[in-house]
Amino acid sequence: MRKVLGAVTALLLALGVATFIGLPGATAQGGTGTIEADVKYNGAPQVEKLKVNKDTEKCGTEAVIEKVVVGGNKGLTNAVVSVPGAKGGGGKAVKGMIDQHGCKFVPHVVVMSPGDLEIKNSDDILHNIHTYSTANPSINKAQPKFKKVMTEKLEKPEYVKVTCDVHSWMLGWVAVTPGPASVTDKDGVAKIENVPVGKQTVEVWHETLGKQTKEVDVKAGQATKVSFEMKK
Amino acid sequence: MADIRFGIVAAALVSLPGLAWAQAGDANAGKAVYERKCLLCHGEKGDGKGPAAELLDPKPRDFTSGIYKIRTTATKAPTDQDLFRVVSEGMPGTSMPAWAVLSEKDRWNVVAYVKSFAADKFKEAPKKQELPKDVASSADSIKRGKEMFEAIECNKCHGTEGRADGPSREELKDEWGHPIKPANLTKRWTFRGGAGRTDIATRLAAGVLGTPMPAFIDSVEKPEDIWHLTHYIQSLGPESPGYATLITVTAVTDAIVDDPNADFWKKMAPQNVGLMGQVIQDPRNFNPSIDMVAVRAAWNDKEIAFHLTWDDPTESKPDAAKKLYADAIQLQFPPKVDAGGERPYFLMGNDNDGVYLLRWEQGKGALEATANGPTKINAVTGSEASGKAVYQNGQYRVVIKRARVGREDRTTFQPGVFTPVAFQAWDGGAGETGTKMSLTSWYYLRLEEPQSNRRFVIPPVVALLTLAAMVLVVRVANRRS
Amino acid sequence: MGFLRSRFFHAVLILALAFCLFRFGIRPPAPWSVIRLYMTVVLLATLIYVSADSDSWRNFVRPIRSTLMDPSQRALRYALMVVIPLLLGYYAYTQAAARPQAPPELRAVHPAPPDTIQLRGKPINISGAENPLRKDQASFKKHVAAGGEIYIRNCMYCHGDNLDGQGHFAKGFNPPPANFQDPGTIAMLQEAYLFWRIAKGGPGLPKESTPWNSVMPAWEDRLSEEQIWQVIMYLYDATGQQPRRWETASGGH
Repeated sequence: MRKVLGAVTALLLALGVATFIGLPGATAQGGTGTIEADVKYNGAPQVEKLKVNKDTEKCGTEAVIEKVVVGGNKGLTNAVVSVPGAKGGGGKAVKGMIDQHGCKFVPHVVVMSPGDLEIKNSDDILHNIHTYSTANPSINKAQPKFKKVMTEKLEKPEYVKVTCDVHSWMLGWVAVTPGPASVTDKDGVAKIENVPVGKQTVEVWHETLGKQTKEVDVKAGQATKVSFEMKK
Repeated sequence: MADIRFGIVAAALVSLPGLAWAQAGDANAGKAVYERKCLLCHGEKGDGKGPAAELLDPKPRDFTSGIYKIRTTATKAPTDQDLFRVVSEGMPGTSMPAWAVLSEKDRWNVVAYVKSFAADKFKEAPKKQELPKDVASSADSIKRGKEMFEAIECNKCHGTEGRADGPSREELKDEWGHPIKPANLTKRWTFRGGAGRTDIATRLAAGVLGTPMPAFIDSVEKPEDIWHLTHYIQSLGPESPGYATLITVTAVTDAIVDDPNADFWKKMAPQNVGLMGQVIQDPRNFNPSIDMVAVRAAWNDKEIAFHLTWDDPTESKPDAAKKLYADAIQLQFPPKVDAGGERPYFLMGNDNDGVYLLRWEQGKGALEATANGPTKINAVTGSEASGKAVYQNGQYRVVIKRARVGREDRTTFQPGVFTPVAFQAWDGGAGETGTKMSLTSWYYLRLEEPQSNRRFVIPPVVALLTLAAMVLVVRVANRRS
Repeated sequence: MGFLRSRFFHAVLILALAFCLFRFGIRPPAPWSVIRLYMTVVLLATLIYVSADSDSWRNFVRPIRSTLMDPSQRALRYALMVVIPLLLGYYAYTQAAARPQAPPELRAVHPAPPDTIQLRGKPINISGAENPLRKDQASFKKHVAAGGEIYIRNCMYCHGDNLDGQGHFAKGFNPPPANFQDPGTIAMLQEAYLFWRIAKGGPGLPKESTPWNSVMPAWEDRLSEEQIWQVIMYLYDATGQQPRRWETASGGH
């Protein structure tokens, strides 16, 4: 009981101090808000299928390449919503993590703050991490079955394409963003917390459909809604 | 202050021993050399889009990308020395020749000019790719290399026995989206960055930039596995093809074995013949798939047989809709052997002067044929050729057998006679059919006469006669005095 | 240092020096048949030298005689009696066991050209003809550039980017493709001669000096008259060679 009390006191104290001196993200107006983005796409989904000729025990017999995934109510999945201007925003630094599982990159889109990307190989077969970037050094490193985890540095903001040459259908993206960011779910909705209040630019990026930005006014402790409609 | 600066420069020089002898080239002077010697392939803007580019595979390098395959650095950009070496020694297996004819100065200048197409890519100081502590080659090292080859799955692209026939080969693309073939590890003389131990180990460690080949320095179990892999790769094939110009047919007394994998054939040394693309008749084949055939041959009184081995990454399943055709190979002979006389036109004869063919074709097997040009092949009715073929790990081995004495217009093979022979091959899986083929000019074939015992009889006789003569001279000289 | 004055020593020294000179002093290396011929001449000259007078001859023969007869030289004598027969025996073995070589592919470098040829039905003078494109000095660069493009798209595969006959298809040919950098090829020929060889290729070679094994295509099927002249201009420009002129008096071969 005393422990719980202690914890609560500590929390209150911390909150008080934070409010008093202001967290790095909390701007002069004070506090942070939430952005709820709703990304829609009015076109047809683009999904390619490929017959797998190797490693079928791990990869299955059919590979699915999801270039555009449209969910319920025309929501666009796998789009990155970010607030690039809110550098070092209210949130903590997000470490990137991507897994190669079933000859797919899981998740398909990873969001991370500049820094380390942890790359896992859960497949027990050879993959190679091959990135295409301009801001960061591009990587092409083999990850044989015995190398379960590798760590690579991506220190500059960029949307980095990740492929595996051994399994050409494998495709993933790493969004290195300086500010808070999130990926849309199957209904095309993404929620970004800890956005500093005030005018902010929200950016939406999709691997096939490109980029869009919108200005929003974030209010402390409130959810600001913003919607996008992506076009080809 | 000056001392510190001096110290930094000295430290930089010491830490980059590879650059110690590199000269700073003059890009302006290099431009003139470039425009004379490099422009036709690499293009005026250095983008690899010169007039020849569309016919070449691999494509000429796009210098504006700053991406180079061959480098000894762990960083992206190669050293000047790396570029200088490629200019001086060329890139084996591609159309990039060795420019050793240019003076060293010209070559350094060209290096400087080529770098200027992507100057920003060379801003970062190059960091040398360190190699693990050297290990000498040995049977154990090769064995360990094989284990590692399997553990890191080199076979995915390079194939189980290294013949570039891995299951991922069809999917491979380079940085620019062009299809790219994995290296055939059994043909070291075509390695783009050289066939030396250090060359191979460096490619393994640092990867080949702009291609699917990844860096393995951190992806082997122990660092020295890089050397074990190198030794295993070296054990996969000979250092050089040692092309033959005369094909010897071994005389045998026993029956000739049909099975291409039999010891009978394994015991014979292969005679390698280089093949090139057919570029005379349309459609032309500028980038042939098959560049070499290894020939073994045997004859006895009744029969003659040819054992042909060549690398082909796929055992094609003919399907015209997918541009897949039957794999095939053939030996070409003049119907009548006329020593020192004129031969039919080397490209499968012409209307006036036909050739005789011993042909093997996927799905049809061995057969006799005649031809009056590459598109006019006619199977001989009542063909007496027989044969067997095996396809294994990216390689065909085929035996074609026939009676030694040919009927009517079919070539007869006489011992001791120089018989003209030429070779043609098709990789149907690469879309080769008709005039799209690999071929050779006329070579010679000779049925070795059974080895007589002369070579064991004559030398002792010569030695004894010499000795007798010497004894005689000494005797005579002594008697005179 | 008595042996320095020995005629026998002189003779051996002369022969050894002459051999080294012929073997390593000539660039490009002389063929063995030529070296053998030269050495025979040197041997004869040396024999004349040592037998110039009877003193000299005696001086020359002395070491040989002593080896043959001197009791103190018995060991050397027996050694020679073993070594020399063995060496000759070995030589006989290499000769008897040698494998036959393929007959060399003849390339009479410059077969006589015909006086005229038919290019797609149009008669073209070869004998005495000059490159018509050279008259127009102003367009020289344009023609050379066009020739370079034709060369790289058609000829480079065999004759090489560097015009040295070492293109990446060269390995499949016997004889190898012509090396234009070699002063023995295009520098010895008139441009019209090249026109004939390019237009008519291997199939157009004269029948008198068969068998040919030229894989040179007949480029008249693919290139126009102007293109052939352009590629010829490129060959000379890129190698820095000069075409040979027709002898004006005869105007013939």
